[in-house]
Amino acid sequence: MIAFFTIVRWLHEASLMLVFGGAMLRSILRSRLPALALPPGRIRRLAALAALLSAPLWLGLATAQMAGDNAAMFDPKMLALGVTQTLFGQTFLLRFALLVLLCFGVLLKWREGVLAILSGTALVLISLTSHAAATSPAHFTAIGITSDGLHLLTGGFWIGGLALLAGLFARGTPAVLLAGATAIFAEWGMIAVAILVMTGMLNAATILLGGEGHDTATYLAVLGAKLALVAAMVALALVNHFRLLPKLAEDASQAALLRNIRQELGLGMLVVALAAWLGLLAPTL
Amino acid sequence: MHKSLTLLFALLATPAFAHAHLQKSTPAANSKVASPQHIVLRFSEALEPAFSGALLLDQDGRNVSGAPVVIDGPLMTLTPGKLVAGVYHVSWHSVGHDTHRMDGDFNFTVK
Repeated sequence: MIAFFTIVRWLHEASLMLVFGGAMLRSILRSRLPALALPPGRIRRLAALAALLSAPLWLGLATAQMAGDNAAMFDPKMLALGVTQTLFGQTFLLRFALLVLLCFGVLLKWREGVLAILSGTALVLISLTSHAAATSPAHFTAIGITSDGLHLLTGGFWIGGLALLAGLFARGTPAVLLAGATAIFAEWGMIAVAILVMTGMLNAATILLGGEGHDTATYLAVLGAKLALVAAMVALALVNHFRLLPKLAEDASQAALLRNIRQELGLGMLVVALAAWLGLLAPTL
Repeated sequence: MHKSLTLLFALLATPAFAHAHLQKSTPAANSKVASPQHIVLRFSEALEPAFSGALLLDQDGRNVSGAPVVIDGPLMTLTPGKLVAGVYHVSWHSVGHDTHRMDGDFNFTVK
């Protein structure tokens, strides 16, 4: 059950991150690089749909978890109780409405800023029921919610932006425009990664040092694996920025950069999967 | 070493979820007390009342919980009737806003 729950959470969060990061970067590129032809967005239509469909699955699994009985996820009364009587359920209703709007928006090609707001809000609302919120200093949950929300948004910008960049490389965009788009992504990406690391430190300090009981070995091991993967992502990003980007006019560099971006994106997906797993583990016992 | 690892891992965190731990109970676990008017359990975070609860059983396994359990934030209160001398067993389950469920139990003795 925990493996299925992890997959559902990963699918939901990764899909939303792809849509949010893509919409943010598209919005920035449209204003700063108007000559750039952006990909049509087939993948993000699928991602928006995946986020919508995985949301009720997450609700069902969470209800089963709360009830301590797997059968509860198929019990309409228990599901109704979960939706109406818990913070998670009430947040789910709001998030589900946003996800429906997001799907319409993606299909009808609404403005990128609107899509970014819809997907970003759906993403950040996950923080309301996070451990960081629950273990905020002095029970001041706004600290944990803000930190966790920024962590999700900046992670989303990184992953969604990478996916869009990979699309630009794959469709044979002229080198001068690719260089411009990559440089613009790098500018914002550096800010995003800095915030991601800072909020990560705050979240970890809150969760591990502020929680009850002793930290669990499994939680620390998975968190360590996640840290190692993020370090690898940062290393790839540095190689891209300082070694490959200056030589982008060369075909070999373009191919190497596309390969690195795909690897960085793949690592990002693994990081989100580990985060989904961590969300189901006990940080402390 | 333990704190060093914690600080190392603190470089990157995750939107993880907590568990509502039992912090304190009145009467305390394994204590000997006069018949309590209320049994109060304090958890580490606010509970979801719809999915949290507790039972009070006497030494013969009979449910003597009395009035319905009242949950207010991190506090869970049982109001049994007058308890006769003997060992009592409190079995609780808690769900925090994170949707994670914890179960536990403890005994106390009424003199």
